[in-house]
Parts: sequence; structure tokens; C-alpha cells
Amino acid sequence: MKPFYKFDFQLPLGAFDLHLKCQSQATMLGLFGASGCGKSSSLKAIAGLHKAFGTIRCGSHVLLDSNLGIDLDPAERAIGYVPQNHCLFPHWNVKRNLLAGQRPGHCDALARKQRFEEAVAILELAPLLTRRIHQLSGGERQRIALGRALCAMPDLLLLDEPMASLDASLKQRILPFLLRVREELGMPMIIVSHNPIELQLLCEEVIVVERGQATTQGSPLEVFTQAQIYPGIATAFENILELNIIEQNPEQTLACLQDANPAQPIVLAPIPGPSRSHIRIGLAASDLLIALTPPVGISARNIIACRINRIQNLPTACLVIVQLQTTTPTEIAAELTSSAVQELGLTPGMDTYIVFKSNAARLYL
Amino acid sequence: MSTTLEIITTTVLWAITATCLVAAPGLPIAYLLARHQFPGHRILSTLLSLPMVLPPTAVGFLLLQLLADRGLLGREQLGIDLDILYTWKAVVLACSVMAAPLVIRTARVSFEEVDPELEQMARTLGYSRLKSFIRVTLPLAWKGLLAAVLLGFTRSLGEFGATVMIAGNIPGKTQTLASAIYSAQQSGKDERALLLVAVALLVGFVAIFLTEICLRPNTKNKGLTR
Repeated sequence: MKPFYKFDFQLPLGAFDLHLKCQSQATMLGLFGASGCGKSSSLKAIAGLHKAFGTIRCGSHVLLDSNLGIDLDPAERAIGYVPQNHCLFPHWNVKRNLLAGQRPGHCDALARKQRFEEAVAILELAPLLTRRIHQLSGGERQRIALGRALCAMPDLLLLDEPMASLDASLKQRILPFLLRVREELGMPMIIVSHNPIELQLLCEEVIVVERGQATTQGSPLEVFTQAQIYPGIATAFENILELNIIEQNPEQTLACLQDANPAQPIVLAPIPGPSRSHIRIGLAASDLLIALTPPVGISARNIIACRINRIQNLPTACLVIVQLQTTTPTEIAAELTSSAVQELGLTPGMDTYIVFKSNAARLYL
Repeated sequence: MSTTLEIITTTVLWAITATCLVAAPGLPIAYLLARHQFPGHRILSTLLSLPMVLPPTAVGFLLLQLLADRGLLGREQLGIDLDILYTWKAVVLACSVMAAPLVIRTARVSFEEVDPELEQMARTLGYSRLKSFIRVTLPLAWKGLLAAVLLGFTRSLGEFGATVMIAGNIPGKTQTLASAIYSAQQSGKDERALLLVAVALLVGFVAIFLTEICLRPNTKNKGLTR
């Protein structure tokens, strides 16, 4: 299968030369790395704001091919760039900012109007339209920057640390909007972040950038459970699961993995607000227990049968990666101490049970 | 002797002409200095600011050398007589040279205050360089640019040293508000001098007051990137 993204470009940065060479079939791609590793510069090079040499292909578009003398102007790349610092135009109100990138020549008036209305609806911008930019909060600015990019009808969205400048509660507010953009508009995205949870929630594939080079690539779980990456993750690693909701009541919520047996539901804390059909949850690897037999007389509500796929040794602990019994493989990583792994005699291929409390699941609505 | 009104009108007219003459190349140069790095950037920037620190008479002397018959722009070199020295054109030239540093420096700062990332953002939204300049940079910098022009105008209005060197102080021909005050005081006409000073004060006050308004920090445009 032909890769969707194909990057092989160089640009000199201060301390080192960025040389990003990678390709990916995933349309939702994450670039992960520490501050100053070159991931934001890579995004700017893709947007055409940094002069790079080499090849940049996204889908059927060739944005840069130095050998063929192709280097599209930023204005012609059809890219929706959302920088970390929002860069809203301070002399225009919210509506004018949202419409800033709509061009008559790009597509017909009806499609543009429809996109504007979609963006306003998905990002809940209607009450803000007449506001001036200086009257907005950080989260509102982030939503407008995203809306402005969407209204320009781009073929690709580039998000630079979409939640880095927001506090924890605002992050929780923005994430659902990003998920809705992903689900409802189905637009390819490249997301730069140093937060694994964002990338796990939004991306199909993650590329790790270190000193300007792509060092590791794979599914978010594959990448973040690697021995050299997992210990460096600042926030606790979370397993992200997409669940279908079976029943929602004031005491608890019953859900199940999308292709699992509904007779063995996952019990979650009650979900506030209207009833929903599906939900994403995050289970911190350090919150999970592993049992050889189904424990009895225990308060934890969730005891799920699984099989150990592999065991990853870390400097101070072990990651046990198990596979849930579903038709499509769903992996979960549990962080245990090495002594626990030894005492239980855990080895790949063993049938075990994963145990967690309802309240251990973080809800991403 | 010219009437006070005549002196004021011609001085203001010359100051306006000089300001336009500076602003036309000065504002693009200011943008160039604010946004682009090129070999000789610092040298150009320093040269353009020199008239601010040199004695005006030194600038006048240099201009005189340049425009004298055997100077680089003199009759013998060019083959034509530009007929600048000791005419109103010399007044305008002296004012322009003396006002240029203020105009360019102020304009440069106001361009620098516009976040270049906003221009880049506009580019990703499909704007050409020119459109991004007109739609984003100019609307955000216009107050500072207006201040630059006003400062250039006030500087031209009060110009004396360089003007006297290359245009003289010929009543009815090259006499300006500044040189008329000097003449009045020298010839003991203190009342006339006082009247001219009062006019200079009034015009200067209004112009600087407007500049203050223009250069007041715009809190609305700050902190937008966070």
C-alpha cells in the first residue's frame, strides 16, 4: 500500500540539522519528542514556513520536491496550520478570523458556507462570533484557531501542541473538539505533541523525533511502551480504549469494547450529562492489577480475561502487555514491579486476568 | 519682510513636502530593516540614523559639499544644474535628511511590534506576501506609522542648522519659522520672535500630542499569542 505521508527533508536548525525521513500509511499521524527536538520545525517545514530541502508528500500532493524543483508557496499548500500560540488576528473579531482563510477561488460558496457552519457547530463558537480576540480565554482562542484552519478547507491539518498552553481543565474541554473534528470531518492530521495521551487519543501512528531525526515509529501503544521511551514520559501512560455504552444509570455505567462480548461489560463510574452511545477511557498502566485466577471478594469491579503478549523490562519496573479477548487485537499495558512478575511467574502466552476499579478509568467524553 | 502668516504657511508646506519625501522611501526601508536580515543591515541602519546624532550644521555642510558646483551632485559632475542651493528645494532637502532617522526608526519599531508569525499565519491561509502585508501588517502597524510621519513632520518644522547652511535665511524665499525666530531675535524684534515661538509651540504641541496617542501601548493587541 502506498504511504499517505512521505517525508525526506532537511533544514538546518541552530544546534543540529533536522533531517526527517519517514513515511506512514496512517492519515492521523503524531510527532512526539522533547522540547527543541525539531518537531515544531518539521511542522513549519511541511506548512512551507521554513525553507527545507528534500521531499514532502502528503496524500496525492507533492508539497516539496527539490529534485523536481517543486517548492509550493505556503499559500498554495492547502494546509490548515494551527500554531501553538494560536496567532489569531487581533484587529479582527472572531467571525472575521474564522473567515480569514476562505477564498472564492478555492471552492464554491455553498461548500464554504457549509464548512463555516460545521466548524461553528463542532467547536461551539456561535456565542463568540462577534467577540474581539482580546476578550477571549486561552481555550476559546485555541478553538477559534482550529476553526479558522478548518474554514480554510484544507486538505491536511497541522496541529502544533494543540493543548500545551492550556491548563488541565481546558485540555479536557479541547480534546473532545479535536476528536469530533477527527470523526466528523475525517480530515488528515499531523499532530505535534509531547503529551502521549493526546497522541494516543488522536493518532493512528506516532513518530518519535530526537535531535531532528525520526527514531521510532509505530502505533501509539507500541511506541510509548518501549523501554527507552516509557520511563521518559512525564505524565502517566494511559491505555486508551474505545467502548460502546450498554447502559447508563446514576450508579454506574456499563460498557464493552467495540467487538467484545456484551455479556461481560466493563463497569465505569456514572457519566454526567446526556446518554451516549460510545466513550473513550484512559487506564493508567500503573493502576492495573494482574491476577492468575479471577479474584473473589474484591471491591474492584472489572476483572477481564486476557493473554500476555509480551513483557517489557524497564529500569525500575516491568510492563506486561496483554491482549484482550476481542476479535480485533486490543492490547493493554500494565506496569508491575519486577518482583511481582517473577513471583507470579508471568510469561508470554499465559492466560491471566486484568483487574481495575471503575474509578481508575479516566473518561474522555 | 514676510508676514507671520506667510512664514507659517510656507514652513508647514515645506515640512509636509519633506515628510512625504522621507516617508515614500522611508517606510519601505523601515519594513526591510524590521523584517529582513541582509549583508550590510547594520551599516545601513547606522547610516540612516546618523543625522540624528550629528550636529545639524555638519549635515548641512556635507549637503553643501555634495550640491556645490564641484560636488558629486553638482553642476560640473552631472552636467545640469539642479538649482537646489539657496532655494526652497534646499529647505525641503535639509528637512528631509534631518527627519529621516526619526521616521525610519519609529516606523521600524512599529513594524517590529507586529508578530511576524501573524504574517506567516496569513500566508498559510492563502494570502500572498502583498495581501498579508496589506491585510495584516499595515492595520496592526498603522498607528506607529502615523506617529513616525508626525514625528518627521515636527522635526522638519523645527529644522534650523542644516537648512541655514544650504538654503540660507532669505526672507520671502527660504526663511522658515525657525530661521525667522532667529532673525527676529537678532534684530531685536522680541515681540515678533515671541509670536513665532508661540505658533511653533502650538503646532509642536498638537503634533506631539497626536504622536503620544498613536504610540500609546495598545494592550488590546498584546498577549494574543498566549
